[in-house]
Amino acid sequence: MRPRARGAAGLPAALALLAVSTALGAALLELTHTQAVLARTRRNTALALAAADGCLATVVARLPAGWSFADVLAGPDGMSGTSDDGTVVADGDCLVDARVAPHPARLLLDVDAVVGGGRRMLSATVTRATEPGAPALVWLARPTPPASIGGLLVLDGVDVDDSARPAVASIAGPGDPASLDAWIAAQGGHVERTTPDAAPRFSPPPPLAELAARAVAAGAAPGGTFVATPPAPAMLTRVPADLVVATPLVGAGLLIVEGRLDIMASFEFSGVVVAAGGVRVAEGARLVVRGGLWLGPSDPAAPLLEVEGDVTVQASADAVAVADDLLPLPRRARVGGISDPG
Amino acid sequence: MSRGFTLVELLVGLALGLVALGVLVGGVSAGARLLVMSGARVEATDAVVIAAESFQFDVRRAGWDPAGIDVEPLVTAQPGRVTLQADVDGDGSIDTGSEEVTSYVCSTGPPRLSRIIGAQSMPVAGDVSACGLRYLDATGAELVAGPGGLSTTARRAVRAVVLDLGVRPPALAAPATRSVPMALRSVP
Repeated sequence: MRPRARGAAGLPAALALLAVSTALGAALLELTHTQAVLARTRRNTALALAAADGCLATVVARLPAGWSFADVLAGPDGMSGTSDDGTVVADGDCLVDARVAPHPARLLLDVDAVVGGGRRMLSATVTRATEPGAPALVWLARPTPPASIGGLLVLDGVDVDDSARPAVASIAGPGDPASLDAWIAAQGGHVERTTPDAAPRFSPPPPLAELAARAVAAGAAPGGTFVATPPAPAMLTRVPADLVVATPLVGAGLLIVEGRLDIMASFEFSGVVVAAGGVRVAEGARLVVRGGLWLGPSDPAAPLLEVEGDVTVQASADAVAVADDLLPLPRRARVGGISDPG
Repeated sequence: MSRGFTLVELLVGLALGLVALGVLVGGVSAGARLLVMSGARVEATDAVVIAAESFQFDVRRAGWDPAGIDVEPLVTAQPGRVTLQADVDGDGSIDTGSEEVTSYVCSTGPPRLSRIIGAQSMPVAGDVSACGLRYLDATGAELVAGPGGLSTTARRAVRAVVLDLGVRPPALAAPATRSVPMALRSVP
């Protein structure tokens, strides 16, 4: 009887201890499992939020430079009143829709990103940048770089009026900035940069045709007002065809050449030079632009910048501002605010 | 047949039994303590994460201005208090009694981080062992906020707000901490 009694007392005690240990282990396991689920959910939502932010940044960077957002609201077909109104082309992981904002100069974008097991939506207000044009000395209308430089191209990103201002990038365009950087490197001594750290930038192409149309609407008479010696008056100048500079001239303001700008002598301009048909600088000729040089055409086969002489483009925010006063220049889109619905 | 146990046998058996029981009770007790501390650690970490998410939501939204009324994202910027505003409904005005004006306040008695909307104060994290706000400019340099907070000019130079938060429930020896830098999205 006694051995059985001892066994009977030990077994329940062992079972009780086993039960308590199991309960403790199960509680710890449950706690760990809950935390693992929470961590996975947080990770997925954080990834989705990062994807939504990245998608928004990419979409806004690609929005056309301009004055309003009517073209964005019209959708990919460019016609309002059609079924694709408000649709914005985005990468695979997200959907983007555009809406009219209460303020006419703003745009609302709704971004819906799904990545892995997470999904995040956000809304953004989009405005136009304060600074006109692209943040670069030379703004290209096409993704491919210009042809090789035979003469000398100097890109001086230090502001000529205030060297304390941030250095301006050399070139911006709708192509991969790395290809522009490689093009500059391939030119060797034919291209000089004073601020090599200010790398080429991505930018949507300049709206050259609309800018010319606005110049016409603003009353810019065909022709130009250039003088032989400085100072030149700041003028809005539109040339509806090619412009050939055969004698030394100086100009200022905003020059829009709808054809090719052909430099055969010396030409100095303070402001923004827009050459929709490209620029050619003959051997022995010289072009100096203080402000910005905006170059077309968008056709990759057409010549964009042919330099056999010397070309210098210097940063000057003041000169660009004068041009902007003569005719409001296009601006890039930028994110003006974000709201996270969930 | 059965002669029973001697006194020595009983004492040795009792001692061995006590040792075994002690080891088992100690093990179970340690397990229970581990469970309680793990729970407290999880709770503290969760509190910090939830506070960070709430702070991130409001700072990202600060300056939301679809109607173009020039909404200043930061109304006050002090070491222990930040007030953010946004035209959430886009009606062109800021309703100070609504979620359009939100403050985060580090208080010492009791030690907690609160989110204040209008007259309503909601604790975001309790058992706070460290709580502070810092303000960074476009270069990432800290703008030192005195007791009165940053001036209007200095507030306009702020590009990011950092929440430094530590939570330590009584069961924990070391706090759960996190430093949350959040960029204002309404400024270039």
